[in-house]
Amino acid sequence: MRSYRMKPLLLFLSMFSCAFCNAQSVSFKSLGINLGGLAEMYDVHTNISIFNDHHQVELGLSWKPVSNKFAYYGDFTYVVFPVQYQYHFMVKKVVHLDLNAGLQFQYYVSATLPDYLKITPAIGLSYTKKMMKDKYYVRGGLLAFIPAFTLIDKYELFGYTGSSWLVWPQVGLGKYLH
Amino acid sequence: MKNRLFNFLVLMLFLSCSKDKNNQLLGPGIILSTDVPPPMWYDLKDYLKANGVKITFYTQGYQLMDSAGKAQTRLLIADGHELAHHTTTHLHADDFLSSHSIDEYMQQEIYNMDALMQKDGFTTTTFAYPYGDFTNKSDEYLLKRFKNIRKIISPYAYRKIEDTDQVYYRYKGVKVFYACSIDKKEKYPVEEILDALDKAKSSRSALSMYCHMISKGEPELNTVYALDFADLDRIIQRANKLGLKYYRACDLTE
Repeated sequence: MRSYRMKPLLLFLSMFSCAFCNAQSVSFKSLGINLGGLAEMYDVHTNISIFNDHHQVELGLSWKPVSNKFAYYGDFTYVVFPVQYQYHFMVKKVVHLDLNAGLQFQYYVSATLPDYLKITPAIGLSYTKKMMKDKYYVRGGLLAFIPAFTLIDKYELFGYTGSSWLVWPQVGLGKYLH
Repeated sequence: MKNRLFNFLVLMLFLSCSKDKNNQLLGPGIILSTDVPPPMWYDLKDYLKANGVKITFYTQGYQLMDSAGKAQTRLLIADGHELAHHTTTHLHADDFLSSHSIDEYMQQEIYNMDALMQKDGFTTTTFAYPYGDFTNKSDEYLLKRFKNIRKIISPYAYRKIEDTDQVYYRYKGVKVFYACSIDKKEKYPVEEILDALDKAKSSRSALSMYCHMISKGEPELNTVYALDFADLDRIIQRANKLGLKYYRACDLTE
């Protein structure tokens, strides 16, 4: 593996470790898995509660199912780093509705072509329920990708828009790490 | 300390993204290819020329082409279209290679047709897989013979064409690229294809699409493996209005 292919992984591991360490100083942290949503395929993420139980930030890394490889097409391999903020409306003690705002960082790597980073914003609504004495949670919802993109490569940084709103389901489950 | 380390890593990530300096941006464009021999589009020769369109003709079964077809092919190449390789018998590469060697595949499907074409003064530098079927081994061997290979893809997971990054290309130097079909069988509203062209313009990239025959209502061409001429015309008029450049497959690798 050429060294630059390690960069996205390095970036993610840095984000992940910083977030995970910082989470020790706040009310709770969790580790979970998402299907759909901001991820291209599967998404393993860590949640960090900030300020109080109403605010939450999630960082993730998605990978291709049934494979240890990242997603691939043609001359490119790509890695997806979802970053999502959630605001929780507490419905009951163990149930909350979440307003989600996220950014999908999609980093495309090629052996012969310039790498590039594509950033896509998304918004959504989900429902989260704590289970088994607040040890676990399940979540379901919808996330809509806003057709406004930012693209960064060695030549330029620019934004562009599309006309298609992509709506994906988001299903997740995880464990709180108290 | 942690924050400083993190910021340093992010900075290093972007500062160190330098690679082959020969790569160049393509710019907004359209890579339009067809998987039929040039004579099947010869009736459109004047129309394509008048609109500045360049097509890549992935040609299979060259051994079946008659002398009139060869003459038409020469005239289309003279207009700037590309003659490209699409195998001798249009078989499924993965199926064939499950019971034959890669050398047999290359001889039967590539070199035999190469020899016939060269005898008539034709050469090809790019290739597309029939049905889009391939193996890692066929990729490896074909990339020794051709400058690039075209594969096929369909938008998935509720995506439209414009959501499918795999058919948008920003740089020269491509070795393997994809195209999505716009034949009638896909049932895309032509507006979706026009939106995809708009995206090529706004994202400063070249959109790769392919089809087979062009139908003007002829019963023999009224198949699902055809695009109506009226739809092709709308696509070309929109591409020209947007100022999209026409790229052939050979233009992607220089």
